Amino acid sequence: MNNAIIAQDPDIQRSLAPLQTKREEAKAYFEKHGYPHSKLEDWKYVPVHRIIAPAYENPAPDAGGSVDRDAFAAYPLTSLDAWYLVFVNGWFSAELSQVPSPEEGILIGALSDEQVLAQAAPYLGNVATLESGFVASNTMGFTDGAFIHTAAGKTLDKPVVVYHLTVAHDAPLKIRPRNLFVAESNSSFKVVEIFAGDASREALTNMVTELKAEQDAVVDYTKLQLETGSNFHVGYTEIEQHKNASVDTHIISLDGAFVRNNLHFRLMDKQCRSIMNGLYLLSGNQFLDNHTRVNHNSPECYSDQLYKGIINEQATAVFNGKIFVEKDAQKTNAYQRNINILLSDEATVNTKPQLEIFADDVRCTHGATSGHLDEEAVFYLRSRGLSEKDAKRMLLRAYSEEVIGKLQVEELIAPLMKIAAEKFKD
Amino acid sequence: MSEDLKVLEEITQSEYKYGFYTDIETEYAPPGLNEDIIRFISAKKGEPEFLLEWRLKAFRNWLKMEEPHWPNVTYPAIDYQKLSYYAAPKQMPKLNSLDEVDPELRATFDKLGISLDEQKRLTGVAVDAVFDSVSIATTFREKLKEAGVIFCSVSEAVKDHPELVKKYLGTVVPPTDNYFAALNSAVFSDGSFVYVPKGVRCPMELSTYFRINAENTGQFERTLIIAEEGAYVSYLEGCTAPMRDENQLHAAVVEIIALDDAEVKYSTVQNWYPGDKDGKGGIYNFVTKRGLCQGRNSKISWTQVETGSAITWKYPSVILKGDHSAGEFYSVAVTNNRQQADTGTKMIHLGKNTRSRIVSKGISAGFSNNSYRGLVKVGKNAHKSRNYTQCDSLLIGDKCGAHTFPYIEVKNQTAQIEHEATTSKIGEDQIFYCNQRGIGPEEAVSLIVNGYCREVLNHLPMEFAVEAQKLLAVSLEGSVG
Repeated sequence: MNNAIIAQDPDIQRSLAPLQTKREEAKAYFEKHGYPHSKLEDWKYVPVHRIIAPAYENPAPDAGGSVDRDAFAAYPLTSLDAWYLVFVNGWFSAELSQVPSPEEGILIGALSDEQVLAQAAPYLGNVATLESGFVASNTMGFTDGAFIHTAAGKTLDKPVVVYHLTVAHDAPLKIRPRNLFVAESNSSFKVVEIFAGDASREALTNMVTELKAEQDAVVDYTKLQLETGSNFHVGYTEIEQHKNASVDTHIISLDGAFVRNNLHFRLMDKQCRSIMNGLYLLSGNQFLDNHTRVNHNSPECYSDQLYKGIINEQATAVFNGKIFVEKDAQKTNAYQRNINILLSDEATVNTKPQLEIFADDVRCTHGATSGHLDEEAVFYLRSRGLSEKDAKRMLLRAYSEEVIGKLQVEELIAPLMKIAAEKFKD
Repeated sequence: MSEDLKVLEEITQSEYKYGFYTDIETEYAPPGLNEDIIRFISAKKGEPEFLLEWRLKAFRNWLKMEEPHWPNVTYPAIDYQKLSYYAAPKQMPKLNSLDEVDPELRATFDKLGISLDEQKRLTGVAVDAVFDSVSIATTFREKLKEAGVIFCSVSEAVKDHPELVKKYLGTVVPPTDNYFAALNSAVFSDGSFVYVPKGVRCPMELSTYFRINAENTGQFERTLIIAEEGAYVSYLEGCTAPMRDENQLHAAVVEIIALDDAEVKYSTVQNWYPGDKDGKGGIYNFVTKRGLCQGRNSKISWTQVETGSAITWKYPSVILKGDHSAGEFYSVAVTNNRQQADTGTKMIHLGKNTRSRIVSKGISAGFSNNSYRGLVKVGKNAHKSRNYTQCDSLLIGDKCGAHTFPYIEVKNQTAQIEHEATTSKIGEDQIFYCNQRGIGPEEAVSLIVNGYCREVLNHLPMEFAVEAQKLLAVSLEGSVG
């Protein structure tokens, strides 16, 4: 951060004061608790020690300019019909980004810009609570990130892609981006976070995304994980919804050596609608842990959750979905489903769909299954002349499509189905 | 809704029926827990050396362990040094027939509805009654002997069949298993012992009745059931305690071993004193129950109806080690007032083609909290294993809570695991439907709750099913959601 400039402008300095307090709180939290460990219920099954061991370096601000346009174009999904905010190793790259010309009521920018940071500061850290060392570490040391703010009644014409590129070849890197999306009342936007990169050394992405949807706002959020190599990812997506707000989330994890996703919803007022779609396709030694939590704090809200996974080779998948229905949250409808397919005897799945309910007039259900491909379905296809391989591939494709097909940024569907199909080539 | 409130109030005020106290001369061990107390208990029971050593080892282990706090329950810290670890009705000569049992005691059991000789004559259920940790009388011993079945208290088994006890004790629940199992291993006073030899189908249902009578005591029974190849036994367990303001600790251990083709059915109707409506007093029921399906085709089935106890903390489990073995768990847990229950099961699939089925029904009312916590684990070699889990919760009133914590861990691709859970209240439309047909709101609720629990109650032996239905009716009399 360029302290010299901030010091010059008293207004900016004033608006940054609350952020400074948040950072100090986070520092105190981190010094007290440190990173979580697998003795904690929320981190059971997670080998955290594996990802915090390397001696990470923090990338310098000039990392933003280290990738040129041609190199960027080689990565997947870089030319969608959308606005782009591109971050390389956690720092903004103006060259690769493409943002709309300034318009009244719409702000899209990077937090490394002091003007943007000053506007974001009052919101930062209000949605994400300090509940683990990873959130604390991000809060005290985040480098850069995207800020989207739509004023009341505004709608963004195109989706915004927040592209996080990780390139680590010389030294292990710790990358800490922080995003903040605010939809004021009756406004709407679609945002897609893409994580991709190329890492021959360990790179830990420790990110926090905060999303606040005010009354009647409509937000669609997609997170695509396409990181390769030794990429570790610990992500928090914290969402707060107010009256009648609607938020759809799609978390699609196709790559990455180690992934832990936390998706938290807080429903603060009546009639919120929250949708969670998840898909994970794992192979090799991948480890993936999806934690979701929905706090139904208010009555008459609706949440629906569908997480599907295919686990191959020696990969491990963990799912933990929590639904809390508070005493006052009568007439809640909450649904949760987690479906897993294991393709190998060395694959592991640990799932824990959890309900905690304190209100009596509710309808909550959850289901979890784990199994293999339906043999009858495979037989049916084979009896019609498909090879066993083709039959299985077709079934897996259909299985993935149930989640990918729900994406609202439709341009993503075809390329993602292609990437998914690649995963089950043999 | 005012009527509903009234009815709810009624249940919260319904008294515990078994809260009386029997004035019987009781012999206590001084309060406190140390190696001398364990030696005292062991000497009192005339135990062989190996068992004393076993107890001491468990105790030394216990000292190193920490009390677990992960269950979803809260209670003030237990002072283990204030409890007395041995309380037995005085004058315990060897009894030759039921007539020699202290008449006071007989009267107590009559009050509980298990008149020992009546049971003997009418129902043909063999009863082992455990009063403050000591086994009082076992009925029908002769008849069982003819069939080759051994049914006696654990202390007698230690004397008469030490080789069996030595071979099996602690093999399913090792003394180091958990904090309360370690404590139990160190100080267990009595319990039932069942041994069914090869190919024998136990001619009658076996039953134990547990009763905590004395003040400031903990009850630590240990039950060991062994079913040899091809054997079958059905075992029932019931429990009550007097009303007291202090909390009492009940930390039992049950071990079941089923060899090839054997089947064991274990049913519990647990009705310990739940405390008064403000949550004062009541039993802490911290129990470790586990069965081992060691042989091929063996089967262990747990059925429980949990209505009592201030805090219930138990997970009857089955380790499915033998190929083609099966485990079942059927449970109804009712909590009311300030009761807390954290209960469920563990099904560990190790063998091929193993099957398990879990049906859990939770009902919470008043200010209570009811949690289901279950683990289904499929090992690498458990090919084609199958699990079906259903856990439903019913909430009555808006001050109670229902929680579900199902853990599913799968390491085999051919395994098929299904889990489903629902939480809801009794539908107003269902009650309306009944009212419309002339069924009052109270009866309607009882009808709906009974229907809701039917799947579990159907698995109880006849005598118990009747008792359980009555218990449910008492616990939830007329509650309208």
